[in-house]
Amino acid sequence: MEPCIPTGGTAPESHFTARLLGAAPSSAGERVARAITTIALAAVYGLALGARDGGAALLSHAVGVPSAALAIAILGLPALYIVLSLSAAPVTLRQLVDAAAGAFAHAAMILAGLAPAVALFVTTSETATGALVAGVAGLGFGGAVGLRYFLLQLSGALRDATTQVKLVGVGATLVFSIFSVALASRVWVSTLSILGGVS
Amino acid sequence: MGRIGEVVRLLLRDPEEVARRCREGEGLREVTLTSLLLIAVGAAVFGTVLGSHRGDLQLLYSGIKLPLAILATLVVCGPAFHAIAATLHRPWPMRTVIGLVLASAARSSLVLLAVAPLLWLAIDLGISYHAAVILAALGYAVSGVLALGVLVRGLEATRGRLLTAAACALVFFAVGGQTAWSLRPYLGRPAQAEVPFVRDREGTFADAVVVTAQSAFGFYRTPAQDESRPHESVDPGSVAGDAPLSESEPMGTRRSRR
Repeated sequence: MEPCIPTGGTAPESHFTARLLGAAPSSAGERVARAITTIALAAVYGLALGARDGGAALLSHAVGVPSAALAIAILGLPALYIVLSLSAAPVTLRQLVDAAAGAFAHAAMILAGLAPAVALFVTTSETATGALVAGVAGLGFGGAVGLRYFLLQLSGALRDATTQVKLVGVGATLVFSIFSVALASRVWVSTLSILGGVS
Repeated sequence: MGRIGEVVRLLLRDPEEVARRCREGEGLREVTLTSLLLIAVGAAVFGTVLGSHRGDLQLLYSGIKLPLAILATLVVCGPAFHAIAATLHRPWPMRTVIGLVLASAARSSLVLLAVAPLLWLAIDLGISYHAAVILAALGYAVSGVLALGVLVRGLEATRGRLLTAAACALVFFAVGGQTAWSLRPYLGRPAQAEVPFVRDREGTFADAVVVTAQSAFGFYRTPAQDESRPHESVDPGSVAGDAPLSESEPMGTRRSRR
């Protein structure tokens, strides 16, 4: 699957951004480096959320934010691959994993970018509600960007498939999307004290 | 001075050219330095006008705080714009982001500079406190909208441009509102004995917008409403950090803090 996001143009791309958000790495070392970078970027957002309470909350939120992506990868991706394979969709496991890794990278990029803004809101909001809204908005936005990337990648892979395969693919992807949102919400509510989880 | 004048002219008449220079890194140093100068001057003038409502130390404090609020907004929004552009549209190098946000804020500061005399005249003619707050907020909002023009023009006409622009605008206004809110008061009330540099945190900017709009039309929260939400009450008069008004006190009446 080729990336469906346009790249290039008159402005030179950032090397870091191109490596993180560009085509899937070719070597295992680069894949690991990308995964670590993705987790670190998501953890930055967790640090921002934890800034309201400080102390141990910084660490618990830094761990909690990326853990949703790991849960989706472990619990959701294999199931999606099985359904797509049963319908003879032209998608390999590696392509699916690369699409998911790219989606997590996009989401983590957004989360890291929003971290200063969210830190501002959680530390300057008197009420827990204000901090909660800001935190959830950032998580939602990052998740939506990641999901959008994943769906674009899958739609590109299914472009030349038969109608029946496309229908099954769309259905499976829809269920996967709903499952991902629900699972991520469950993980975050359980692990992030700012959302009412374990403090 | 010639280069400064050229950048000012471009900011006002040709934001497309400013955006192009930021995107391609052409003359970025002149754009950046001139933008910083315009932010310092324009926002300081507007802030001083706001402070003239109360006078004394409020003049100085507001003249310092408003440029700080704008610069803080840029610092917080910069990483967000970089990330949004990278994931939704086309990656921008950080220097492009810095140039674009500074140029945007400079354009906004020029608008504040233009609005300042009108606001000063209104305050000098005795406009009520709440009306002054709304007028100032409107001026700040309009300057923000015009500032976004530079940022949006920095986006090339490719897929994802509208979504990127919308996302950047949302972040910009949310952060701009919250930073301005965090550094209040700007106007102050003449009857206020003390002039704090900043107030304690009270609610959020979004809460304040709702409450002030209600207050401007004579609708104040009852003590029962505040008691039911003991940690979330926002006093009608506290938008710019002034003494809270009682339920029966008519709009515009002053009361000093205890």
